[in-house]
Amino acid sequence: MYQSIEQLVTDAIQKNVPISELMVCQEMEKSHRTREDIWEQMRKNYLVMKDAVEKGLTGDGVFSPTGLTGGEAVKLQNYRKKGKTLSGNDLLLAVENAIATNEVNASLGIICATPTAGSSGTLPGVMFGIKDKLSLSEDQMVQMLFCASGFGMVIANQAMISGAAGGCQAEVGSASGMAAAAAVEIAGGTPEQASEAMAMAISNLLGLVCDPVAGLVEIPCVKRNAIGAANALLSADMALAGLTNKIPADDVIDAMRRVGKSLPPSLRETGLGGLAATREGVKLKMQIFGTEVEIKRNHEDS
Amino acid sequence: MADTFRSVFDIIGPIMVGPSSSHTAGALTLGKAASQLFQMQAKKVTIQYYESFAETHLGHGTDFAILGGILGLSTEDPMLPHSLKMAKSQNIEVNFIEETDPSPVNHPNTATMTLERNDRRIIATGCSIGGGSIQLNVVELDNYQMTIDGYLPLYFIKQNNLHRNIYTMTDWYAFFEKHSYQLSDIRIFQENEVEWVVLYMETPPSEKMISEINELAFVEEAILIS
Repeated sequence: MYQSIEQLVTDAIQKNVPISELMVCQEMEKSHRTREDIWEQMRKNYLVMKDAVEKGLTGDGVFSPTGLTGGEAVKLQNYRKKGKTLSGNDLLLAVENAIATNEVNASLGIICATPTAGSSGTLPGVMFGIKDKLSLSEDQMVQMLFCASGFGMVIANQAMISGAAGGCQAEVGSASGMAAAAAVEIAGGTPEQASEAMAMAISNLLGLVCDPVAGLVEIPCVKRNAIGAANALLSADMALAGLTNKIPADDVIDAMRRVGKSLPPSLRETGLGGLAATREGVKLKMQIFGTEVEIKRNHEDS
Repeated sequence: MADTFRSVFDIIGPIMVGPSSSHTAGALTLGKAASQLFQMQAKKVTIQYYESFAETHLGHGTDFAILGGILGLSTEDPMLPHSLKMAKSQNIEVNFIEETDPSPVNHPNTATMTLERNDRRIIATGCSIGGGSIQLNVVELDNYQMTIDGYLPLYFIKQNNLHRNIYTMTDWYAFFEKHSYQLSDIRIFQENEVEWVVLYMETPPSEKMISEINELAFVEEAILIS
């Protein structure tokens, strides 16, 4: 098992194989399953991601049972297709795929957690954002998932990946780091560049709190995935251009762990702080659950 | 530090009904673990939630997910959001309690599940650690409490120590070594003539291992939690 990103990078360089390949081999060794079997399971995950993106962008889109989120991926797509976007077609394509996936998640539809359901749009957002541009085959899309899993596993074991344990930086932050690294690998970057991309992506989202309105994975989660995907693409591009983070990937993961531990519970998926504790946030909670709720300010978040 | 996330599919996956991997998929896995331990359909289910689970279970679908796990549904079953109705139609009494105390096992996503049917009862406390993975912390079987603090898969084996030649810890390690299988840990809990052996697995055991364990004369029960 890889305990650090440094080990992953060193091993990939020594064996002259991509990080995704190291993960396939590790899984074969750990589970005693064949390469074909493991690849097929990952391909199924990929197909679920593909279906979710399509579902969120079909017709008027999907809507959550609460009505808090839905239909916005389609709105963004219509806007993008007019060709007058400020941030550019490619970036918005990734963002719209990310939003589509998280709208499906909020509508209790079927998604693949990457690494979590709340952050399930970030990685597919990036993957389907660059698929046509780089003419990626299905196998290459699956390869990205193996690469992302390598980075994700180190993050999960050395820090955390749940909002309740470490805030949104642990969910969308981790997903963005994984997506940035996978994008670098599939675009032909080196393992070091993949590591730098992850380091930059997580550094950029360090401290991001988990403050879901009404405790629902909707506001601000859906659009946090938009920023996760966009941040991943920018970090991947910066790494491919030779920019470095200066603070190494493993140190960034450790910083994320320490920041996560020091976040008060009100900002760790309790729905008690941040946006959830705003006047409008509390009003929405009351409308949805129909009971009197008071703003609790037990902690530092006030 | 023991690695909690050991498979690429702990990170990419599970395929699941939304909206939250720790509050929905992880909750389902907690319910499934309790139901596997109980080994029959419960007539009465009591769920106590702590901390983040207590605050947000309504919004995250934790109720339908944990109950769905107890009823044997999978994370990707489209029927999952309807598990409360399913329980009602099967006359299963279900209670959800929001505890205000801190988690007894020091994790924000903690649930204690009590499953009952006639005079049989089990209590299991576990936490959802992210991405759908769980830790099983404390288990009470036959009124006997065991601190587990382990990740799935876990193998609970009840052996009768009135029997001759029962396996010691060394024997269990040797058994798995024979199958070229590495165990993470073993704990043995003794109570009168009964011993619960808890095997901490890295990956699910093979069919061959399972059938060999079931054939051991001193093994009264073998429950795989996966």
